[in-house]
Amino acid sequence: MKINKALMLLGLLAVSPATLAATGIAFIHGTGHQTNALADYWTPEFVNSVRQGIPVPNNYTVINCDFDQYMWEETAAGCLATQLNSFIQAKNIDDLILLTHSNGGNVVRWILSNPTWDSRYPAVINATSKVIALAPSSAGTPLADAVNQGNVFETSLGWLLGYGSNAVKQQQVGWMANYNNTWLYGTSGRPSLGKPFEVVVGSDVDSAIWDSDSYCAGYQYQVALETTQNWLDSCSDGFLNCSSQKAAGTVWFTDKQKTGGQEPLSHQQSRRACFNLDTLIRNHI
Amino acid sequence: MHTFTLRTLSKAVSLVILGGLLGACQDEASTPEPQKEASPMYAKGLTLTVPSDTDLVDTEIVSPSLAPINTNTDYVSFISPLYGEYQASQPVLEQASQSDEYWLNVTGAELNAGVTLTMSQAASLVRIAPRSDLSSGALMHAEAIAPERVQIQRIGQAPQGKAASSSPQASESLVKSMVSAEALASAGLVDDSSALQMSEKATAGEYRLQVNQPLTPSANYLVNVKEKGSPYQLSLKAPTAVAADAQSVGIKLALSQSDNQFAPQAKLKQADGEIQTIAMVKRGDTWQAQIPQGMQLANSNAGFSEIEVTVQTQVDGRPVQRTVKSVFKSYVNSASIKPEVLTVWDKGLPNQVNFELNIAETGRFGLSGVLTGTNAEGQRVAIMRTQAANWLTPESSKLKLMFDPKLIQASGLQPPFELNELELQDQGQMARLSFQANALVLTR
Repeated sequence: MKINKALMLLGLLAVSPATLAATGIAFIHGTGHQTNALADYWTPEFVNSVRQGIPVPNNYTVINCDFDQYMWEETAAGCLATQLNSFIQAKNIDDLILLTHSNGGNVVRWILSNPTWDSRYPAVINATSKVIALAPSSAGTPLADAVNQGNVFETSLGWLLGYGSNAVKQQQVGWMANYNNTWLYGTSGRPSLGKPFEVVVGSDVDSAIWDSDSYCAGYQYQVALETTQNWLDSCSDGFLNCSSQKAAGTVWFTDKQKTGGQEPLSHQQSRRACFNLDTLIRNHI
Repeated sequence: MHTFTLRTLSKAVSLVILGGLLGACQDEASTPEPQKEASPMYAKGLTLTVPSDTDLVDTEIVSPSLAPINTNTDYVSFISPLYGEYQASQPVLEQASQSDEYWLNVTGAELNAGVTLTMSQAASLVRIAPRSDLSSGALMHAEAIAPERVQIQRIGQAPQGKAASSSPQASESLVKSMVSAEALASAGLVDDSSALQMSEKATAGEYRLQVNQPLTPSANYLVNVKEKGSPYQLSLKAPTAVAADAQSVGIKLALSQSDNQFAPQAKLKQADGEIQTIAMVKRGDTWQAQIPQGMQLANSNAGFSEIEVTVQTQVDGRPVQRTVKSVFKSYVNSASIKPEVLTVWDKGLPNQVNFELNIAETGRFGLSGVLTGTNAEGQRVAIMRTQAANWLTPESSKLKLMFDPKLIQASGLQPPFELNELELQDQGQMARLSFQANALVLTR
């Protein structure tokens, strides 16, 4: 009788969720306060395509946090850690892939660099196997500096940066340099992040009205791009210099090296199913 | 019957010390229990090495006055494995930045009357951005300016711009293109600004910018002139962190292509956007931004403070104006590490280092360090980074850094083991308080 009970217990343990570790993927948005990032930030087309690359495609989560705040704040990294821990526990994830876009890469770097800031962080770090960072703003952007010149208490709504928020202040070039030198790992001369941080770099913007490629989440205003180019290098995704995107981690690829038709990825396009980006990520994970 | 030797006495004494020590530690769950007499675990007191000239160590502690931003009270310890020959790193204490642009604050009345701009090259960009005003007690945000209502003329010449002339040739000669706030927002400039891209014909000189759109006279605007690729770059070097009670901040300034003397003007900008004018005094080859008594360098532990420096001069007969900024963390030295530490050893390997801090006020403090061992060639090799943080009080200010014995064993490395890059952080201030490159040689 006792033997039967023991065998049953072993059988239960064998199929118990606790013993079935799994791969999972989390989609982590950039600057902005998201409540439905699947529809408003990523699009279902992109998410549903990418998640087919893991053994159990349902092991995915789309993060919705307030990344208008400083990366370290409760509503930013705290929210992210809570949602990731819930996902890790619910699905018994021990091989967690974090797919970030833009400032989402900074929030993730904050957690990886500062495990003792918050007791929720270590479990996230331990479960994470790698980060795929799409156009991360690792060294900030001069456009954030421009909108913060003078006495800025608030600014108008914009689709890229959000309001004149603390997240926008944080992404000023000098501010990111200071954070990178003190609180964040992964940049040159600083400790390693401890996890692979693989970067996809957007290097150019196609916006000519006669180019149909520019209509995949493309820009409407060519003249506006020419204006912001006054602050950017010749290699940029229209929002971030390539040097900023490459500042932390290692480059997985620069858009034209792998995209369909060797098309560049603008900052908007690097979070959408444009030019096979979704397929490239799906096959990579 | 066991023989009572000096060695067993020593062990027993060690275990008593260890028991007392570990009882004071915070992480009960992860602390190895002191075993019976046969336990290979023992404690040994050591002293941190004397700080070098390049270390950051200040033993004078001061109470913070600003609210802490991290009030988590949990003890958190974390260990990250490291591999390969140890490359020592030093904190970056100085930042460098450079500028090919300037900005100035004007009112709606001034824009309607016309303001003078200097341009040092052709094809500059002029951007006009509404800014906020709290002077009335309520937040007032100026309205965006339609770029077609802006005119610009070289001083001493007829007005140029779409609003200034019915002649297309005349209007297009100085302004190449204009961009609305809506269009700029779509490209990442989300502050309601509009812009005029000047043409190649708008060469170096003084210009008058005027807005024909009726504006609220007291409304605040920012005019930004960006001269991409200009040879006249204003460079700045300044500290990345400044003590909150500093009376001055040293800033090195240099304008490329120019040996001219200039008199910089400076403003202190706090993280919440509040701006105050401060004086600049030259001492030797360094400018000192003077902080008046009573002026706070920061009004919050969140974010950074900035010093904006604007320079106006003439180079080769061209008017050159530049604004550059430094970004720094204002902090108080709220804690220091006592040099006497207690190490705990297990089976001949370092298990933990127990530190005691001098702290001014209750708060959350963190320690981190890199444990290295020695390979057969005598080189230092990194084994792990260890970090810990806890909520500490002046009466209970112990903090321990744990080591993972499995990582040490797996490394195959031998003594001497060393603790390097010992860093003390005040997580409430979000400030690095001290850094010691080679802090402790762990001797058994």
